[in-house]
Amino acid sequence: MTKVHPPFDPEVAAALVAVNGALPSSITPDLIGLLREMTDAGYTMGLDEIRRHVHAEELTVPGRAGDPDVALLVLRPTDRDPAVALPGLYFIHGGGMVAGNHRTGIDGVLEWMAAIPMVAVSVEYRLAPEHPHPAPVEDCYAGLAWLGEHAAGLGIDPDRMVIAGGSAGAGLAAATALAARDRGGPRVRGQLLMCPMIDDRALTPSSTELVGEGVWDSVSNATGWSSLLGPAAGGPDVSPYAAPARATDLSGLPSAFIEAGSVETFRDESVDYASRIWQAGGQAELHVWPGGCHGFDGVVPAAPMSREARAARVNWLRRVLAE
Amino acid sequence: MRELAGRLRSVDPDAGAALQVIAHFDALVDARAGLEATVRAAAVLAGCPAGMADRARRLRIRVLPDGRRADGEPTGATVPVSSGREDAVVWLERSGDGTGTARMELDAILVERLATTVRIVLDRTWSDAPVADPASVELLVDAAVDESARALAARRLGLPVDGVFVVTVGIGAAPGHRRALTARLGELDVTIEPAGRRGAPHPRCSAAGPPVELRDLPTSYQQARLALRFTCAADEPGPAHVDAAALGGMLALAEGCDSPAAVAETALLDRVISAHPWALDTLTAVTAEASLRGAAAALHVHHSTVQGRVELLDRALGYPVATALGRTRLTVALALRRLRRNRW
Repeated sequence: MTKVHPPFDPEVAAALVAVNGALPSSITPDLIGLLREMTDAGYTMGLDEIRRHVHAEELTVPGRAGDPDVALLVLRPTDRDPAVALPGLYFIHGGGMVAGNHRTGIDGVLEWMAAIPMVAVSVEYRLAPEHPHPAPVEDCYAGLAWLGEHAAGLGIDPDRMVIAGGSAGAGLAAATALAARDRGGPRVRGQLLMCPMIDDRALTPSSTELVGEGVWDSVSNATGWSSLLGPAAGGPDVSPYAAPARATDLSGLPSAFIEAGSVETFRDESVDYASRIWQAGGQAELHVWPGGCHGFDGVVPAAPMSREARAARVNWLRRVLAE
Repeated sequence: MRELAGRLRSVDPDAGAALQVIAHFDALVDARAGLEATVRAAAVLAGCPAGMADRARRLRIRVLPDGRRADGEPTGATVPVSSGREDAVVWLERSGDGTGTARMELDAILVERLATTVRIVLDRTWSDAPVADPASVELLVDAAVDESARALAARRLGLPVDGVFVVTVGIGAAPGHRRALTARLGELDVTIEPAGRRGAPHPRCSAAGPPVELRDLPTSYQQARLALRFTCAADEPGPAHVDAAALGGMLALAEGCDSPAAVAETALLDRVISAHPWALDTLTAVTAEASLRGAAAALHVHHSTVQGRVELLDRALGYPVATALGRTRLTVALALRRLRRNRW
């Protein structure tokens, strides 16, 4: 049967012409180098640029037992009394599990900080395929665990913390939330999951709808998961800390904000994850943006739907982080 | 997340920029993007405000370079969406002097693609033909109707109340070819159009009044009707379309066409025309063309043939038709003859 998918929003469709010209829809393992270059060049702010907006400080904290240290980038508003504790946001960057660093995607974090005074901490986790599972998620968890113990010292109110991430970063954020629940780690109020990469199995209809079109199609997704999991990807023995969609118990998790475009590989996984959180007695806010591709609000930032998507995140953060 | 994709941003005028702009607008057309999305694409790609306005449809869209809608007047020059649609325009608001040739060239491409795409969207989404409403057209040209009723009729027809319009009257149109903004008044088809929009040519004879505002439509209609009497009568040579504005003082002849002088002059002409089957064609060509040689070309006869006919006509009419004075008298005589035949 021919694969069908919802139509792209017209503005998204037009922008995809140039977007796919720069980076193909299908990222095969040989294109991981190109993806890293483009991520570093286009979507990662320099430290000097970040410091034009906020205080930025790099910390190195211990990794999990025997693992190397983990670098954290701590961002603080410049115009706030350091003695007054602010909400804390723990950010995990995207990049398909294989690209990016703790400055990747920070422009979005700066936007949130401009709307809501808070301290943001971005983690630099080790990347696949050089560092397969569990290296990335353990680095993310180690950073959060350290943050839970040192929140006061960073001017963060430990009772008002959220985890946030996009794409692979959202998958790692969901996994970190699961780990924090299971290991008695820091209790965060919310998990902001933007188009999360949470399922290696490619079982849902959306996970195979896109081949050679859009952003992060099924081929790219297979590349990401096999980089993280090797031959185990899609098999019976994958940990929910690698692919949170595999978790059978979604109870006791922080309130979730889950969003996806209607024309993306992660659509059905996202909807299913929200549904199962509700069914487990948890709270979730779910947005599926019609005609949106993976990361559409970055592709067409000026489009009304992108503005609404960004505003929805800030509104949720404001509610979840309220005193 | 965005790190896996690119981003639509303003284009710098470098190699490939024009192709990127063209491909982007093509893709918008393919995806059936709407007007606001189209204008937003221009504003984002150009990095300056962009807009479109269509007076007839009362549409106005202006978008800032960050994509936010901020309707308003253009700050600079506008460009029609097509040569036949002067009332629908697009624009870019590029400020500053240090723009450079490359930027200006890219802006020209952007504006051209914006205009073309807006025209395609308008053609697709807004029917060019308003609902036929002859009663409202009749109200617009009726001098006895007060201004508020006329404004109401204009709104019903989708015409801008502050617009400039042209009234066209025609005769001999097949009923199926009448346009939506047309009413049949007596034998005449009366059409009202925003000035600057090129109407479909009328099948046989037509005349246009001067461009006027809404309240002067009855005057323009009266002048168009007068001008129509200067067009050729059925199966006779002469102009098929006449603009009232081009006739000027000639319009005054209509009031005198039943005076004794006019009756006598027309009778003289008719006698000559009935005596020689070629006479009307030849006399019409002599007044319409700059020279006898030109008249010969228009009649498809040899110059010496026209020369011979003119000598005969001079004697029959009793005045030399090819002199300056004779041509003027003949022009008036032919006009009086049409005015006496065309009684609408």
